[in-house]
Amino acid sequence: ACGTTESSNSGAGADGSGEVRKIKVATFLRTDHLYTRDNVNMWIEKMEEELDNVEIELIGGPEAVPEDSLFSSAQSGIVDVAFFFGSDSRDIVPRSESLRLSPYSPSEERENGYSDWLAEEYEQAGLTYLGRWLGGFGYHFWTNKEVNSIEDFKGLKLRSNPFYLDIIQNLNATPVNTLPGEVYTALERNMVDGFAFPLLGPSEDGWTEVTKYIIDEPFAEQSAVILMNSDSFSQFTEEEQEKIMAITAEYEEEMLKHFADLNEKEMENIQADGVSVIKLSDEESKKFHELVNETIWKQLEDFLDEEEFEKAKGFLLEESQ
Amino acid sequence: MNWVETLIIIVAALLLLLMIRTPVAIAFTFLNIITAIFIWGGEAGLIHVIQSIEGSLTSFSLVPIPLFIFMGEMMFQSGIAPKMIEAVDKWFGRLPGRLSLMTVAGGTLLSTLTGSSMGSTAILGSTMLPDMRNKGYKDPMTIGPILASGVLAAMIPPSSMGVLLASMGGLSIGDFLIAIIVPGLLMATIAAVYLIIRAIIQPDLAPTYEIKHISLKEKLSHTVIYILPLGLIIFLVIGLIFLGIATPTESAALGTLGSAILAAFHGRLNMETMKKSLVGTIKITGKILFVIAGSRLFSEILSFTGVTRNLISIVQDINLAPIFILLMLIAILLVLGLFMDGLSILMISLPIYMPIAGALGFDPLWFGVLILVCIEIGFISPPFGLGLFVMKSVTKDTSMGRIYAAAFPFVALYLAVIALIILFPDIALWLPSIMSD
Amino acid sequence: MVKKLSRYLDVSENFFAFIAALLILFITISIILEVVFRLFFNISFSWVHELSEYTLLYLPFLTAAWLLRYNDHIVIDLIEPILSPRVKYVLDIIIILIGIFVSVILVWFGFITVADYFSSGLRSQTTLKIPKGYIAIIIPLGSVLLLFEFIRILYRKVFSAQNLAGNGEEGGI
Ligand code: NA
Ligand code: NA
Repeated sequence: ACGTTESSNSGAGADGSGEVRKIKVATFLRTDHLYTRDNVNMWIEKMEEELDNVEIELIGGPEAVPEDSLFSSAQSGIVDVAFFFGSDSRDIVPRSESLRLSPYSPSEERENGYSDWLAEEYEQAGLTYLGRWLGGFGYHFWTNKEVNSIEDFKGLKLRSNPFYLDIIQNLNATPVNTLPGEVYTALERNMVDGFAFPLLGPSEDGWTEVTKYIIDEPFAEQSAVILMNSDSFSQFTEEEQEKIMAITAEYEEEMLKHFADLNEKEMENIQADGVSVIKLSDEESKKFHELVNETIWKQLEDFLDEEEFEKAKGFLLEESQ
Repeated sequence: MNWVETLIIIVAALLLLLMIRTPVAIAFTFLNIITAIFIWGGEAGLIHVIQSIEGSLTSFSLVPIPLFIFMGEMMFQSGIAPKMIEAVDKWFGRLPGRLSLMTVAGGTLLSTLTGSSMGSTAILGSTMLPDMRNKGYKDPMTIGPILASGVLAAMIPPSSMGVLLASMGGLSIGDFLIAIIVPGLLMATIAAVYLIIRAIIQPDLAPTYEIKHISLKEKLSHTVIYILPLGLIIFLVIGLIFLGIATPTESAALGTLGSAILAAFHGRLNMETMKKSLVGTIKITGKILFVIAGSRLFSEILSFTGVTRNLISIVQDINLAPIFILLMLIAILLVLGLFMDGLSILMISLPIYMPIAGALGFDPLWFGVLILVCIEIGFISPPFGLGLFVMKSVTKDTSMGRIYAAAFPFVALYLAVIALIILFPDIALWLPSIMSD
Repeated sequence: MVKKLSRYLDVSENFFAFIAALLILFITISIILEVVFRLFFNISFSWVHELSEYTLLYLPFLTAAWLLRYNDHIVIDLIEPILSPRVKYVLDIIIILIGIFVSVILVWFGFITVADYFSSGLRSQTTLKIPKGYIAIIIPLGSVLLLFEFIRILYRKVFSAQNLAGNGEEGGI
């Protein structure tokens, strides 16, 4: 038996006992995905290096813990750490819905109190918020028809998911539900005219083979967070806990650089693949971002009560407006 | 407990449960429950079991299963499928094992419609099997070719398994979908040749009943009445995918509509047909989905406990000539295929396999094709192939032993295809290479 | 009394199966309509995918007990021919007990999970935002019927053995 009951009772003992603490890590995306394969190990290596008697086991991705039970698995301690992504937590931790609206870097989030505000609510759900594992890049629309204005989105059939359904509808485009495995075929046969995705990914998944344009107007931030089961976290001494936070903060800087480099290269790669980059005019760009931001803020408003919503605005809008 | 012990205990317990005739779904779920209590602790673990059942079934990629089964039931219950078979039969004349060959031909055609081996096996099983049995065909010539042809769904585009493999393995999806065509057709051809030989050697397996002389006029009229409309519907569905009007998944629903229209055209769309088709559909779908829920969590547990990771990473530590490593990689896939479903195998193996292939200098496209064939062999390889379960669910009176026996020759034949692809990589690489020129 | 309970069980199972059949019709028709509406009116129903997915969970649990009644679950019957009636009887009892155990767990923890879902207000991460409790509730509901069906089979097995009836029982493992 290697369950969590054992590890959560094992207590502190960084130096004295020398007992090895085993930490199971699971990721939202498969472990060889562009977003995880080097990135997650960067955090794991740092942790193992800087903490004594800690052994971290990367359990795997959705093949071991499916996407939609990753959050609850971290809550119940089936895994100790989740590299979690998305909206599965929004009913339990409504504040997490605001993650994708943050204009700040992780270190800025720590400074302006936004991180603490999030952490408070995660803690109530039995989870310790450690930090972010993706950041510094947003989503793009990729299309097969040239889009130079908001008007051009009208009538486009865009691959949809709940995350950007409202945006697609507000752009007067037609959302089409398409399985990940069917996106390629759907693009190839003009079943859809485009999709939304960050810069990184479509090329590796082969979608750029059948995509003509990328609209270089990134929107929304990644809601990717590292969460640790609170009982697992409390087995560490206070000193170690601070260290874990510091390690993660340091990791975030490296992670940002890692993806900044990848993104820079990727912009060249996709153009070599034959994807043309479209830049909207200043006016259209402004209209586009207003529309997108309004949509996401509207969604958040439905999710948070008034007081919480105002707080979110306080953290995330203060300086940008 | 180390992973070897875990593996042995879990698999032995599963085999034992199945041996004593525990329903497959119950056996998987029982073992999942016990393991969950053991590794995750009582309450948390068992809630995880419930969540996993919920999560693994609420997946749109499974939607073609009920739809294709519904389509097959409708074609069969309305009497269109038997009529169609008869009409084709009139042309095939005295060819040995002609209904079995028709199954392979029909399965190949169906593969251009569907990307789901489960759906394809279900539709072939519910349309072809009853009629072949009426004509006195025996298992090796009925169940065998149906299983063999169901596999083709993944080997001939559209192929959801193929797309997933390519995108997860970092291959060009377009190139990969082209690369699997020739191997897929090779599989179909080898199966057909085998069936002809078997029918010649053992004529009693596929009796060549006396056929009356049929005038050309009758042949033509039957073709016009029974085959042509079906062809139109097939072309309609393919056309809809091709024109970008429907996704392959949606086309399964349109196929059902097509079969309903066809039934109406023959005056057979009535309450009785509808009722029988629906009952048949929920029976087959219900039991298959229950098994899928159980086997998916079983695969997750094998991953969670590190069993599969360790099994695969053995290869990484081994120092052998590339060809031996390749054979080991294939052997491991085949072993996993005995117990696990294809998607789980893909998710577990690809992250480790593709880097190994890269390090050994294998052509990734060729290597991907080999992986896909291995996974599809797992679909029909005893003791647990989802294809075998689908077969069992469409013909409940046939014992599992008979289904296993009928599957074996085709497992062997498809292993031979793997050998051929290893010896002659051009089988996989030729078509993509001329396409890119 | 027993007969009456048995009748109730039959009726419930048939009702569940009936719902399953309706769901099949529903997803088929709604997917067809989605394609047609998208093609002609550029309108897309985002609920079609979602409801089809829930149907996939509902189908096996709506039919599990009903299939068991007709002895129609997938079974690997390799050793069936070589079993003596006595060994077969003992194995059948073991299988039924396993079945009862599995159903009890699915019912109990199914209801706990559903209660958790409702109390934490969990909703599907989709457009419809359906409370997840309504999605998962079919697991314990279907398993309740499955449990009763296993109990009925057990009752018949034991009862018919006492009467040395030997065979002639309906359904069963
Ligand atoms: Na196919
Ligand atoms: Na198998």
